[in-house]
Amino acid sequence: MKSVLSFKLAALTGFLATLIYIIAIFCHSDLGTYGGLFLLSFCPLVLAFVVLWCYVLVYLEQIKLLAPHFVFRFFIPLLLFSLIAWMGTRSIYISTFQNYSLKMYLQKFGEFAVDFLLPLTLIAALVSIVLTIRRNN
Amino acid sequence: MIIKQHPFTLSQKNWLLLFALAAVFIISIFYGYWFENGIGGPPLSAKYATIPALDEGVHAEKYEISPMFSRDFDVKDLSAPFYDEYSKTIIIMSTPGVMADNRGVQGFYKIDSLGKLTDSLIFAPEYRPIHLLNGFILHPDYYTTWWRNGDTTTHPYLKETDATKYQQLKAKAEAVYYLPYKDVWKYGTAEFKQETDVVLFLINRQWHALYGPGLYQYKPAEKVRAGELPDLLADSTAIVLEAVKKESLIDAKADSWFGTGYLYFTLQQDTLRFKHEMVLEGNKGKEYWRNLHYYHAGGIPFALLYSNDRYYGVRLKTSLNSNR
Repeated sequence: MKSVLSFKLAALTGFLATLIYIIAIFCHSDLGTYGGLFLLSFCPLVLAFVVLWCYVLVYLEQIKLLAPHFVFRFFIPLLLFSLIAWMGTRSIYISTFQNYSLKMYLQKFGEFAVDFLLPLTLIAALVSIVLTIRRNN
Repeated sequence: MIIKQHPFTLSQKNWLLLFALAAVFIISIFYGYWFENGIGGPPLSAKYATIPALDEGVHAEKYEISPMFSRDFDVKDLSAPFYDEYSKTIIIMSTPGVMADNRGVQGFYKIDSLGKLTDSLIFAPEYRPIHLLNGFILHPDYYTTWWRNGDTTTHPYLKETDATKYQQLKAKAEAVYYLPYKDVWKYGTAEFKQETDVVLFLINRQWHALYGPGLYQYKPAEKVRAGELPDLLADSTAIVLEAVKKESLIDAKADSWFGTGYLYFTLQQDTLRFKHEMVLEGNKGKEYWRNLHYYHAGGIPFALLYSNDRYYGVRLKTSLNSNR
């Protein structure tokens, strides 16, 4: 079965994902004006990244490395990117030596979850929904 | 029996990958809690468990420490306290912050010698800073004696324009205040363009204003602003750090930690114990703290602690009750 993703659809997905990214920045008032503007300057990169994400998933399904199902399209990239984001930023949220209680520790992780996991989950859901409904057209 | 070359179907392999990724992610989340949770050192004695934080209120036999202002008020930028010897009152200014919601609003809060908030004065949006000195409120255009006697009548400055009289006026003055031109004139006015600075002189209970470019350079260097109470924490023996509980490492190189300090404050026969979040440095031989300021004007039975944009009054319990 041939599965082609039109560039129009990929670009639309990238655009919607960039909107999620922009909304996420506006929800963080603690970034301040300059921090927010700095992050906004990455919008084109986010767009390109999400378009690439769509095409890589399509490619992996074509060479039979990824099963063409919503669950895998959603969870596998999401878990991979979450892992990378957490490894890259955990030192900001949790210091290397601490005496936190479990509750405090989870609270600190919760800050990461709101900052990174929430927008990532929304974008992963968007990408996998687009890839799933595309076949029906 | 034929052994299959691929015992797993594609979706089974994907499930495996998914669970492996999930397992790695969960392990990485809890890695810090399982393997990096623990700081050496003896456990803290049980007697510290009940010590309150400043926000919760600290009580001893005669004195108590409690927040000066309610929580929703205290988030504004507050100045250091200013003290007037004559009326024995303290004023705390809420300085207009750049990012604050009520930009340009300047508030003055008067506290009497027993530590009771007695009066306040709010200036509607006024972008030029208003200053405090020796019981006077010095607006760029006028002054009032509200701080000393509650009178909000505005008095104009006696204008002096001969800049050469500076030394003569200074010799006669009880107090001098220097204003840079940027704090006095609106942007774009002739005086602003000419960079006309203003020096205020207090002579016989009257403020004189001397105008002239370049006068601000005469301002002597000062550690604290004129009229402001100095932070006494570093010199004081009244507040002692007794014990420390490290909570998390900030920087391994500098050996700096975030933690809770257990302090006590001795005041006459009273010992007020409280805990306070602070930054500690381990390798300096002695722990030190930040983020706490202590103000006390000699001669009044009341002191102020300041931390994280909040003021705490150290007051006699009896004075609080009798005034209510």
